Amino acid sequence: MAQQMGDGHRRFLQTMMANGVVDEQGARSLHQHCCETHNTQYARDKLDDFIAAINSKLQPMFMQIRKGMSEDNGQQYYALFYTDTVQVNMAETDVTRMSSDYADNELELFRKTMDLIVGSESGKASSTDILNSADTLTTKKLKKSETEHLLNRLVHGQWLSEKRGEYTLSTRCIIEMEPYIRTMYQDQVKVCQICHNIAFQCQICENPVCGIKIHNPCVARYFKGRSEPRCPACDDFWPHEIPEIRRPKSQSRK
Amino acid sequence: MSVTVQINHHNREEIHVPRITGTRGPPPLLQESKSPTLQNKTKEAGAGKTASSTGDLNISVAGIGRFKKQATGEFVFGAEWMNTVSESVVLLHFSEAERVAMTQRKRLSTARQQGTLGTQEEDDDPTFTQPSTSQVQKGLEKLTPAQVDQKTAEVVQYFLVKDQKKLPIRRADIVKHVVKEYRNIYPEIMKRVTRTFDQVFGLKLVEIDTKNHVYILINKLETVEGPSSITSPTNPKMGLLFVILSVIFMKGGVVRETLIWNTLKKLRVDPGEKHEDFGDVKKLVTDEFVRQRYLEFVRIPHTEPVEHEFHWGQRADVEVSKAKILEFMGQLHEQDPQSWSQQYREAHSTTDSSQASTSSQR
Repeated sequence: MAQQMGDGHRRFLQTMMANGVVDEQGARSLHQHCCETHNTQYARDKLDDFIAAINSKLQPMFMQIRKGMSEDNGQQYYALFYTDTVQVNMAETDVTRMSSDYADNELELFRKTMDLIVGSESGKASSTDILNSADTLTTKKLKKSETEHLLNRLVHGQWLSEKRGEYTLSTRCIIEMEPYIRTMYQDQVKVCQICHNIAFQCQICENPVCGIKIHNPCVARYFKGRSEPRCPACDDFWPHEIPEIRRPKSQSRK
Repeated sequence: MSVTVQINHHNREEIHVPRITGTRGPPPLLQESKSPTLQNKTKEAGAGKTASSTGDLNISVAGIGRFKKQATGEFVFGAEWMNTVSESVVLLHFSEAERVAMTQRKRLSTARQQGTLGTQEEDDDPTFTQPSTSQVQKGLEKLTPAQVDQKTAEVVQYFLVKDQKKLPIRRADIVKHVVKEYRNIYPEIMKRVTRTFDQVFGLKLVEIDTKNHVYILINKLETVEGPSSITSPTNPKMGLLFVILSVIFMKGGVVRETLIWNTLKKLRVDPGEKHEDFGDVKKLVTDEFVRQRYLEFVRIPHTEPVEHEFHWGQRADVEVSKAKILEFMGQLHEQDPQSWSQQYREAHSTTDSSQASTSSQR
């Protein structure tokens, strides 16, 4: 049952674009707000249909609103997502989302940071390592203070997240850039065994012939309540600490 | 009572003028000017709220501070970081003769605007001439529908990326960076792009400069306050801009720069100093706002030392509702907006079709 695109859908889309990424609760209240503002029929469980209607119109533009999981808290977020036609151009032309806000050498540093994150076991890059890679830029070099300032901007712009001096790719970045990452890092990038999305912060099976990866939140869900956790692929004992499932904060904004 | 005024554009920045409570007790310095106080038009632009007309009037402008009118009729302006009064609201009153003179100057400069843009504008690509209809037809025949769709999508994305900064987009850049070898079907692509923005995004593609072929995207949807911070992120820069646009509009459309600087100084936004929220204020006002086409900053010939005047920019013309500004003024001074007859006529003129349409006033 495909809905027609109306002003309610357009308002939803505009808000998504303005916010970058929206959590599930936010998306639900936005859905309600948009329907009520434009007197569109609203049903709480019709959010997916609502978004599908938008997506069918976005598809010719190589854009989609996509749901993705935060590696930190396991919650679902919605973000606007471009197909790889545009993303791969990131190395070359001027047409991508990030390029209007960042200079060439800044984008190069971002790509180097991404290299570090993808290549790391923890899915994190320390600020020290990032600062060191600032010295190896082929475009104009960045000073230490400039690099620090740039990292702040990238966090503020919702491309990176920072905790205790270590940087990870933000949820929005992962959702938006998944095709790019899969293309650019196809051999290196980790994929979660449970949800099949790309994974950075994850646990790895210690069996040397197995080595499958599972997102931390996916581990929490998959192994919940099991007294003896076992690898879903090779059945070896799963040696890592099983995290708790994090409940979303109750958000009563009304 | 409270008023919500809006600048309609798709980044959804709005200026809230909500009611605030609490008073500061600085000594009043200035009298409110002697306009007759007519019956309060409590025209509420917020969603379904009814305004109660009481003695005290509190209005705040995001990023600037708050205006509070005391029972004595005097205006008190207090900001988070200051404690004194301001005569800026008084500046917004002026004589009829002054108004007429200002309007005449504006008419002359408007005629001039159409021809040349600011000196910072590069010329339109001289090698690109708009292809004729038959050329477009021929061009389309040689391409598959998929190719045209792809190119349309690329232009849409280009616009969205460029418009994030609210900088206008030049046809020359679109052709050079995106359309490239498809330039012979450029009009067809732009037709589809315009339709896509309208139908999918609720945005209107407007050519604000028909000589140099410069576009901006404006919002067709009215800005509406939502239930959470997601739907209404506020930006103090818009508050500042709003004050400047108001002064220019009330003064007939053109003001000398010194007036703006003095107004801002009284609001404790000093162009000479670095501001907590705005940074380099002078740069923000004369450079960023100008590049975004909210303001025009034009040199006055034969002035020594060089002086400039401010006009509304093309983006402000289409995005900012003059009626809303007048309404805000009306609330601020507790006057009927119609008491400023010149401005009222201009704000409600039906020939001003390029104004962003705001649907039903709530």
